[in-house]
Amino acid sequence: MAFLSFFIKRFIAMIVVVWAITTLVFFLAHASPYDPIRLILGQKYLGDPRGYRVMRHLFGLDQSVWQQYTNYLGGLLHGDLGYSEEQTALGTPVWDMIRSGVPQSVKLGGWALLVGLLVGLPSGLISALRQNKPVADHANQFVMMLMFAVPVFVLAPIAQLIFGVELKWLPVAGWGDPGLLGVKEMIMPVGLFAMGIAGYFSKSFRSFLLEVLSQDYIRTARAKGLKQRVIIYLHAIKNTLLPLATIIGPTIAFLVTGAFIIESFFNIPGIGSITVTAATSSDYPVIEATTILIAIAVVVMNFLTDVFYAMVDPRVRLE
Amino acid sequence: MAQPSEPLPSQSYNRDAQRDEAGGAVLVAATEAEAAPRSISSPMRDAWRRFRHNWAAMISLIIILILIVMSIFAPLMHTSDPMASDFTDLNAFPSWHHWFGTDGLGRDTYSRLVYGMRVTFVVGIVGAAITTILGMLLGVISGYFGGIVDALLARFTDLMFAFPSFILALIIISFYGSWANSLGMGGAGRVVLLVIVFAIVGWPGLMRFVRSLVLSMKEQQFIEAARTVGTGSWAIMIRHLLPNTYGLVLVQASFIVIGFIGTEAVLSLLGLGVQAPNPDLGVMLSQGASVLDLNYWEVLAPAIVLAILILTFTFLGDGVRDAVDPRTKG
Repeated sequence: MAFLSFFIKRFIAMIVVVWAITTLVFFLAHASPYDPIRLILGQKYLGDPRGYRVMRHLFGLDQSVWQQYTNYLGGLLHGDLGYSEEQTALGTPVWDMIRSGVPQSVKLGGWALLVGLLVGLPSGLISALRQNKPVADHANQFVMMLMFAVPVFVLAPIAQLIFGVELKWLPVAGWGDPGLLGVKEMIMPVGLFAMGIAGYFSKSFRSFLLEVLSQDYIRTARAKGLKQRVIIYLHAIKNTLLPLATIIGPTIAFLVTGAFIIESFFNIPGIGSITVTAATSSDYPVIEATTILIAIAVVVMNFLTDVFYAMVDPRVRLE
Repeated sequence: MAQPSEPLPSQSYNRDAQRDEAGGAVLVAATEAEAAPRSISSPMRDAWRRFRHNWAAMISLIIILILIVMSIFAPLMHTSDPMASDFTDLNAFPSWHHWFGTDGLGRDTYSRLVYGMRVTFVVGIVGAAITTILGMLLGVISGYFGGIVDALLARFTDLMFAFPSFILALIIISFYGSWANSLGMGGAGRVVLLVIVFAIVGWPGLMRFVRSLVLSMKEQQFIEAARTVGTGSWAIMIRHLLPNTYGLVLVQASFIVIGFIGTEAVLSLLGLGVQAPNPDLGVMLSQGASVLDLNYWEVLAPAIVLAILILTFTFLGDGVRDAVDPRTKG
């Protein structure tokens, strides 16, 4: 069966990619000229060679590269991500550190994606159906283009300034407070995050729809005397699913990068903030864990997109 | 993006079709070309003519050139030392003396902007140039030789493609950032690291693109003819295949520049790119965001400059695309 063999092939490819990413991350960290133990010990204990050896042993850094690598891969398979090497959180299991961040990032990204789709798709639909009308198409697409092109790190401080500092409608930053405050805190980060997604989907959906609407089968449907509504919702939109699946990849990349920016501007304790904190304090085990986690999430999403693509379009399975 | 099987619009071996794209009927264009051999039209000249009539792209190009000249000749641009503090004038609003105000340490925002743009342009343009050349070379080698070389290169590219490039850049910088600081070039170590990192992460998309172009071109007659007269593989690749990709690669490269400018600002504002005392737009943005209630100019100025840079490069990229590849005009 074509689909099953396609699925298995892609699945194996995905596992290979995940393995290659973890290996790359491990060796990149290992090749770094920086010695984490020296930073932990600081100036005070650096002169004590015994303490230095003990610490190296504790973190398993006195083993051979190969041994460290197999320990690391084995640990990953068991969900053991190692221990923090940062001074204040020394020895804390990495898993404990990032466990609290994942739901926050998923919450932020999920809401942003939902709002972005709810704004972007209708906007694209309207502007495709009213093609070349001054307000419904041109003004609409101009706004969407600005939302897509102006980066979120430019808009975020300006929005904080207007709505937080000057008008005082929304809290400048913060996250996860209970009740109404928590909802108010979400409006700005989610809204800003969603703007880029909305712009991207509006622009893409418009061009996909226009492409489909110029096809022969739409003309046939019109010639048969079908109602406009039936043509749009039954024939046209269904056929934009396939091209829409191709923009899932860039959307995921946008979600990942955007999370880092939004979390940093609004003090959201998500996976992006944790990674940045670890990166600025050279906490290698945490950086390795979070980046591998994000990379795996992206690779799995791409895999699911491919599978969806093959389910919708049988030609893909036979490539 | 052009499908591999289609004839490419702006290729030199396809001049008549090119004229057709430009608007004239094939027949008229062909007879004109025969009747008036003096008005030679090359694809690049046609592209430049189309580009010149695109006012948004031309204005963007002029703004970018002005900003580049300003940042190169920064000391002559009415700037003061971007690191020098004026403790009598902290968090100042714009004045005749400090055009865009000062920051929390009394440093002149205008001077820091002009010097900070140097980083943006170096990382954006030099990084994009290196990664573009890398992607073109790998793409043409992979596409031309095929076989085992192609299989290995294409798999490697797939792997690089699967790895989110922002995450890869972040990993490399966090593992090697302190090493770059210790290089002893002041803030320049980080800039060099950023250029290297962007050169490493940027090429996979371009490599695939050039590979698909080369695959569609290498079976065509002008390559066959070159092979027949005994031209070597490398000469064919460099003299015959690559020049035919320049236009379309330029379009891709201009979008790579936009991506790099944005990513550089993001990394610096997260504290991973250029380090704090050195002037950089991302650093200024994050410092300004922390004193939003004191003086909004400190965040507004770098935000506006970054927005101008990204919008002008976007218009420029769109203009180049419309000029080189008029069929995809959106």
